[in-house]
Amino acid sequence: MIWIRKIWGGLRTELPFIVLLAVAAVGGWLYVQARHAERDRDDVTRRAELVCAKVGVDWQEKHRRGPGAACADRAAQLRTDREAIDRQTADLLAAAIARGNALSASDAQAARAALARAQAAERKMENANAQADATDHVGVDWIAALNGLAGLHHAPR
Amino acid sequence: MALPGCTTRRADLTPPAPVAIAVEPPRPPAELLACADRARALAEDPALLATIPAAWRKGLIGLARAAGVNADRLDRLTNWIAPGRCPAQE
Repeated sequence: MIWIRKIWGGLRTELPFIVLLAVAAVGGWLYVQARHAERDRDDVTRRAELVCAKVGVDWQEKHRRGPGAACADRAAQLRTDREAIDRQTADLLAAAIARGNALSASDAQAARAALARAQAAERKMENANAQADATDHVGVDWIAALNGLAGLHHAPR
Repeated sequence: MALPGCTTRRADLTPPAPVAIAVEPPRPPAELLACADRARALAEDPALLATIPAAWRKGLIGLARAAGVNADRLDRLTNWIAPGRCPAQE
């Protein structure tokens, strides 16, 4: 136990120097931290300037809330506009698609009706023409079938 | 000389109101949007008779068929561009 007491005695005599060393170490550490903080701040400012330049407003643009506020306002406005335009575009597209679907549906119905009518008229025409084959005489049936095939409209009675 | 603080570029900071514009396809002129011309039907009178050789009958049937198909198609096309313009045929 003698040697511990010996070291302790030695340390006590060097105490002022040890304290000085500790203070110097803390000071150095704080200095390095400050340099890091400065570097980070400059880096962040540069990035902010870049972002502001992208939205078309200078980072230093005068504003009562300080530098960057005008730029932030512009960015917020751009985002609001973008969202509004996207929403309106989606609405317009949805409406256009719905209108196209409705058109297709009603046209498909018209096409089916026209096809059914044409097929019926075609059958009627074939029958009437087959009856006329023997004599080449055509009468009211053949003419009526021809009217139907051409889709001619009858005079109101 | 204007003070720097007094020259806020308000015009730059207020972009125009956002709009998305629907672009309609160009519409054909009105005379192209007419419904099919359907002629008056030939008289369906039992007293009338004619003798038409088969070759001419075939031609007449072809004419009638083409007229009917074209008229139906034109009505559909017109209704596609101007919905509800041409009434459905009975």
